[in-house]
Order: sequence, then structure tokens, then C-alpha cells
Amino acid sequence: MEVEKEKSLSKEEAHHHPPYVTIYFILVILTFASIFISQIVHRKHAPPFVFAISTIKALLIALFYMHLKYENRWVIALAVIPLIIFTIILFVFMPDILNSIKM
Amino acid sequence: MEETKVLDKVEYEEYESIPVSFRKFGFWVFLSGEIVILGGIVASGILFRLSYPEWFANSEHTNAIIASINTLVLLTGSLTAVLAHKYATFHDWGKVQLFLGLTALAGFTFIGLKFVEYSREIHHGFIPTKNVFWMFYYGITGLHGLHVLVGALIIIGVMIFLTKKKVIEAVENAGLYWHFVDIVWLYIFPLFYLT
Repeated sequence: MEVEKEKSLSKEEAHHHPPYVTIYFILVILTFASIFISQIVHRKHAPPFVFAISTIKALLIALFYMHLKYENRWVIALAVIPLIIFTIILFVFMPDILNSIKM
Repeated sequence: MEETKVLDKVEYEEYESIPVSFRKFGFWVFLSGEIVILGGIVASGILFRLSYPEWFANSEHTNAIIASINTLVLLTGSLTAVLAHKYATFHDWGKVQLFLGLTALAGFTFIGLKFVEYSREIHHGFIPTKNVFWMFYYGITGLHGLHVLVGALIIIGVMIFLTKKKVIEAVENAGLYWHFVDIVWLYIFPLFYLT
């Protein structure tokens, strides 16, 4: 019974295997791009660029390697809800941080 | 007795109403907690970086070359972890063991390089009590390193488990943990080494 279930699972999942090696090379290229940007832009001004690249890489891993692109709503909710909580916490602390920059 | 039977039926129906396997759902619940905890710690570092003008002056002393190699090591580990899952769905268990082994190797390589990095920094006097930057640096990279070590040990545990029982979700969940740890590093790397 369990073997049959797993076999049917494998048939379903076989359709959800994106080109992992191509995605890996995109991730490597993006890593080199962030290193290159940090060399040409002063470290003080680099954060928006390098963190944007990090976010693109994180999305690629989450969507294709963690298969969130193909997951059902329950699993997506479990990934997104903590991110919402975490974003709210960031905004709660943001005024304090901005005040300390002004000082 | 009757009441217990009815309750069991209700629980079973509730479980069936969630179209995802119990093992995977449970693991994602665990990962949700990890996202808030590790994500919060890394975000506190990013926010502090905005308010601490001396941050980039200190980050110039971290070893970006070793960290770049470690980034590639973790990304390669992610590739091998997802390939292990792919071959598990094809029931090619020999390749699953090979790719899981390579993922664990990536984990231990990361830890080894981290020790080299720490020893060089400590040798140059950059210890956690030097200033707030170094406190954040050792705290966050140390906690992340611990997660990489746990990830590598989980993968070895799964490799041993697979010799007894072939469960695709065990491979998938070990890979999910690895990918999560990889994503966290994608933010730690620019925070301490590039900005």
C-alpha cells in the first residue's frame, strides 16, 4: 500500500523537476554579480544592490529547489505567514532605527 | 468508547482535508518557526548595520574570499540535495545516497572553512568583545554554522535511515532544511562580507 502510494507520488512529482543545474548556474552568476557590485560600489552604498540580488537568489531557491512554485496552499501559507510576521516586526523596530541614524 | 471512535474519525477526516502529507506538513511547521527565529536575528543585524556608521569599516577585515567559496559550497550542497530528492522520486536510491553524501560533504567543508576563517580573525585580534560588529558577526555566523552542522548530521542520519526504509519525504525534508539554511546564508554573506 505504502509502496504504491510512493510510486504514484513519484509519477506526480516527476513532472515538477525544473532544470536544477541551470538554476544553479544562475545562482552562481548572481553570487559573482553581488561580489562584483561590492567591489565597484562603496561598501557604504552597496546594501540595496547586494540585498536585492540576495532576495532574487532566495526566491529562486524557495520556488524551484524547495518546490514552493508547485506546492499546495497549505505549505505556501506555512512559508508566507512567518514572513508576514517577520515583516511586521521589522516595521515595528524601523522608527527606532531611523531615529538612531538621525542622531 | 463510542466517543473515542467518533473523535478518531473526525481527526482522520481533518487530516485528509489537508492535501499534503503529514510528514511534509509537520516539517514545514518546524521551518516556519525557524524562519521567524533565524530571520529575526539576521534582520536585527541588517537593521543595526543601517544605524552603525562604523559597520563597513569593520566588515573590511572579514575574509570575503573564504566567505565567497563558502557561498559556492552551500549552493553546490543545495544542488546536490535537490538532485537527491529528484532521484528519490525516480527510486534510484544509489544516486540518492551519492548526492546526499555530497551534500553532507559540502556541510563539513563549510564548517572547516569557517574554522579557518575564525582562527585567522581571532589571531588578528578580532574577538567578539572587540565591538558590536564583531559581536553580531560571531553570534550570527556561529548560529548559522551550527545550523549547517545540524543539517549535515540530519543528512547523514537520513542516509542511514534509507538503508532500512525507502521514504522519499525523508530525503525531501532533509533537503528543505538545507535549502533554508542556504537562504539564511544568502543574507549573512553580503551583511558581513560585502557591505
